[in-house]
Amino acid sequence: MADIEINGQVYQIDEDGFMQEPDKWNEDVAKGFAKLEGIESLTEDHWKVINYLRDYYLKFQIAPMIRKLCKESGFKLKEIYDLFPSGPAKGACKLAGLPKPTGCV
Amino acid sequence: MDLIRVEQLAGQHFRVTVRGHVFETDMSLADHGNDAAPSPSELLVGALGACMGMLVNRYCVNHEYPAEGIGLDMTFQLADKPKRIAAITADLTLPEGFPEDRREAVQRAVHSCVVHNTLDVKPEIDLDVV
Repeated sequence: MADIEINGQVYQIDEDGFMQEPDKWNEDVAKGFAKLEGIESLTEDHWKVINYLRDYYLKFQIAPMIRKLCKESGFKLKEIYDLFPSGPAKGACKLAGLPKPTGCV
Repeated sequence: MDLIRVEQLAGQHFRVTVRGHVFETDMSLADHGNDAAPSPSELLVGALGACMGMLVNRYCVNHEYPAEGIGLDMTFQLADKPKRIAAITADLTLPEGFPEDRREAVQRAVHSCVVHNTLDVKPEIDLDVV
């Protein structure tokens, strides 16, 4: 377990950099994680994926399967990787403040 | 079948030789390797994609459809206890001009490639220490 400071706020992350307290997520967290992932700025498409993952997680407490993410966000797998080079789990889910996914996205 | 020879180069880095062809595999830095080559799991998923792509090609050739420009984008998720590939996701790109009304048929056919069948019906793995 480690801490990360974003805009003066401290957040707990696991050894892979995922938030340990997803309820503390806010848009600044996504922007802060984006910089660490080498994403210069978050576009409308990034937010579409992040908000979908966020809403799904708040509803079901797990990350969606990748196929579901693709179908419901309208992006092909390659487009998800173009947006989040680390992929749907290590990239998109991390920016959306989800804990490290197991088995799903 | 021809002999497939697997030799350690150093640490997690291995070389695989078969019928005069050579490829390498390694683990990422995070997984105690040197990231000199794709991991065995990545190769397995890649082998599945290549096998499915080849089957699509045969399907197209047999039906006299356009047969070039096939592609797959793939990813997978790991699970624990036991550590394994739990899910594979693949987006298949068909050749330009492939008939719209045959898309579902080829999608069904792809599931019958050899590697896919092997993942469906677990093979016996007989290992001896020699």
